[in-house]
Amino acid sequence: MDRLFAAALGAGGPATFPVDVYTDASATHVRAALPGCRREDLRIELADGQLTLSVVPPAPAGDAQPDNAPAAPVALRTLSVSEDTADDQVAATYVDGILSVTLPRRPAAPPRRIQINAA
Amino acid sequence: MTLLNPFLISPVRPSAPAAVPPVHQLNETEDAFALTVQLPGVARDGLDVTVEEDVLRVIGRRAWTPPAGWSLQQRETMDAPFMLAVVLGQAVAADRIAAELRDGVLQLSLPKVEAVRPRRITVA
Repeated sequence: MDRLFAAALGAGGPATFPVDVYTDASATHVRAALPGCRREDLRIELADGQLTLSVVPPAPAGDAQPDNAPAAPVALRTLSVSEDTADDQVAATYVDGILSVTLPRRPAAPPRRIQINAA
Repeated sequence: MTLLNPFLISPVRPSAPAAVPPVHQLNETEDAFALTVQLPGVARDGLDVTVEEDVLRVIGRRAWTPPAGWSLQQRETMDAPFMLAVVLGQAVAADRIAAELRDGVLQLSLPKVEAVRPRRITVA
């Protein structure tokens, strides 16, 4: 990817990038500095309490890719997030080179009263 | 050999830097220099690009602040503005510089003045 310079990416494996994490009463908010990305190349995955942010550009034309081979990320970060994240409500925006991900937490279940049966 | 010489114009203090140099890349063609500057978090109204006395200056200010009620858990970015200065010398036609900011990346086209362009000599 031209726009993420080799210097920023480093040689070899995927590059890292700076990330800020905030929380409020109902969600965790992650902001990642990823300038110059195409929206379609940004990947956000959440599994087992791990949030993975990556940039996966399409393989250059002419590159021989084995069938079903996953494309390689050029930049990658993995963060631990709250286990009670509402996976189906995660939302993201990409503005001015900042990827912002909002991870709402499920509301805590109310305490359940256990009925005591008569002996 | 390029005539351009990027350098940081602001003093950098270890604890709270007044400005930070952005990641940038300079390429050269026969007709122009192309300067690409990474400015994540900088919107158009936070960007200043000026040329004064043969020095091109790029200043990018990050205006985002966390909403009330947000609590910081992990911080890896900085609030300090980006600053970059490039000595153009006599190589660049300053009146024809063009700039575009998209998705936190500034693309600057710096056309060369006629005198430094390579001349193609037709062989009779």
